[in-house]
Amino acid sequence: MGSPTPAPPPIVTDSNGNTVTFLKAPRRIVALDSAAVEILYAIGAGDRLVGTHDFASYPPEVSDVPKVGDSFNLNVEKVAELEPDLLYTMFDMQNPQLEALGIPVLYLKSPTTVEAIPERIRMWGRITGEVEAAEGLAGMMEASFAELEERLASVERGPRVFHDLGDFWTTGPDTFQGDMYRLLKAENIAYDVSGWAQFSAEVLVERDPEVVIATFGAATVYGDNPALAGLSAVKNDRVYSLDVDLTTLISVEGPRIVEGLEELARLLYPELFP
Amino acid sequence: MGILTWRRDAGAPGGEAAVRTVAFAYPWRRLVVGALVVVLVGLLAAGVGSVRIPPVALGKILASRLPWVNIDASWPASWDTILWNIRLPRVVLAGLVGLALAVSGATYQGLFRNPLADPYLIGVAAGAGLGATVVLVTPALHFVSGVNMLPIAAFLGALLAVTAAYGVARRGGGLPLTTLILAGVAVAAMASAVTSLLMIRSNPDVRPLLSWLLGGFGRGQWRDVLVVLPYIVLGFLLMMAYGRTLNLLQLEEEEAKQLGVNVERAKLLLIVVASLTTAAAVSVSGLIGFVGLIAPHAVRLLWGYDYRSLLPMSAVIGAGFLILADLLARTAVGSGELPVGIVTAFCGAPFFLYLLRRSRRM
Repeated sequence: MGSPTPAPPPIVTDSNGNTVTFLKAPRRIVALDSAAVEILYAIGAGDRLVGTHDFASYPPEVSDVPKVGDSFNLNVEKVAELEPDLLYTMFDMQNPQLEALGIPVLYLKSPTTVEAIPERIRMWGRITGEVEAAEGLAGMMEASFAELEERLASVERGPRVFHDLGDFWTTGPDTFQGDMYRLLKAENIAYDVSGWAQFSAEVLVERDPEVVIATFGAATVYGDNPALAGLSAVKNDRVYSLDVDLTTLISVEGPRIVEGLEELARLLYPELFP
Repeated sequence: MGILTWRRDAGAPGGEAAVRTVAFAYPWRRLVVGALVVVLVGLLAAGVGSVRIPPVALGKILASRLPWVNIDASWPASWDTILWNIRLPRVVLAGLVGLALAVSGATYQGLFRNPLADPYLIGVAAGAGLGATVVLVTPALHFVSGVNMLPIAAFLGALLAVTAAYGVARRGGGLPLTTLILAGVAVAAMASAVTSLLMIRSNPDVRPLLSWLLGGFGRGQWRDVLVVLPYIVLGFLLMMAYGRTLNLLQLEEEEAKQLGVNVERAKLLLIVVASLTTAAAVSVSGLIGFVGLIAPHAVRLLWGYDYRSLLPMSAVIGAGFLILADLLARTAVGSGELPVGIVTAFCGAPFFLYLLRRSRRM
């Protein structure tokens, strides 16, 4: 017959419900999100990254990539100067302006579940054409999740945990962090919180977490405030302060989340994950 | 006389000041009743919270703390912690901060002869906000040698801002008040700009910072009460001592001087004391608005303009209001907390509009 039928162009539905069709794989991508950056490098499309946000730090090669602000404060001139053929963002307020400049925009809100990450990876694979690499990476991640679940099979109910973002701000089950705890079978004591909220100290004392996971800087209050001295987590010395790197590992919804999950598992189940 | 023009009539030009000497009976009964009501409100507020503790248990927990009482603890230890180490310090702190802000607000309104004055007028809030922001975006600064730097930084920031405004406004031996207000506005704008810059450029989560700026007692401990108590009580007593002076300051400065008021010294002292008191309050509570503005006006509506009664009654109303606002802030949203500043704004703004409407009819 002749040349094989080309694959249909990938279509992605963005977070506003619009369908975005990629007639050509983008070769100059500006990605305003660390997760997307890490995914692109991981599937071998890192050389297509021509611009990224100010706080991108992984992998090390990204330090050579021009910075253009972040999702909420975009330097539109710099973006235009880079002549991207795709801009990826998590915030849609500047989309009309960018589209008026002829820059194709893909707007996707951050994923709220851990299982959504392999799907994202596959999406980037379809968009960039690196389908094999993406499938390989996604498959590996899903295998890691399955392995984690297997190692936790003996656990019926994990410890009560409180995730402290600072000043008792915490995340509910419908956030990405909340979903991580669900996967690890830990009982997030902020189960009735929707999204992010500043938790009441009274409820914290009443629900008595066995483990406190605090992002850097937040843990000092547990040794300092007499009201918290009675918490199981404090009495058993299970208040864990995450350093900057570990905080990033559990916050970026990209390929390294597997490491993040393993670190959390180590803190939650020291006997199962030495 | 409308609420916006309560300066006493100065009489014919060149004539004597028309201050009537009326025998002033100190409103002891009003003050004592007010203070008792505040204590009662505080106790009731301590009985309510996100965690439901039955009233009988509350009574027992309180009673068990008395040295001569011996009750077997039939309640969970967490209830004891909640009542003693979370709710009571919060309520006391809210009362103290409300008192401080209201009295400072009344003093500023009297000093600047301006009904829109509030304790944050000359830069205290913006300076405190900047100090707190610097600490909150720099994890290494949170605790230095085991000491929590947040309230210290807020306090220092507040004082620096006021000192800067004062330094700019001071002219010869005098302190022109309008210049001071303008200098305060400028310093506040500068501090706010730097604060916003730090917030936007900081990588750590910005929520703890925002909730501090909007004000709250979620972190309140007995230690905070002990630290601010001397400042607030001393400040309160000092400002009260200037009640009569504040009355006289409602006249033009020249006339007040003729009546024997050392105007420049009074201005300086009142500004220093009110700023210190406000700075102490803000260092533990964040920036809570409307209390310092509204409480004095409410008192004027109820009991008149004499500063000798206005100052203590503002303290009473401020304390009670903030205790109730804090109660709402910690019970309105399930297991979460609202910043108290949001509650005071929700209550304060409509009340202020009501005051304005009322004054227009007078």
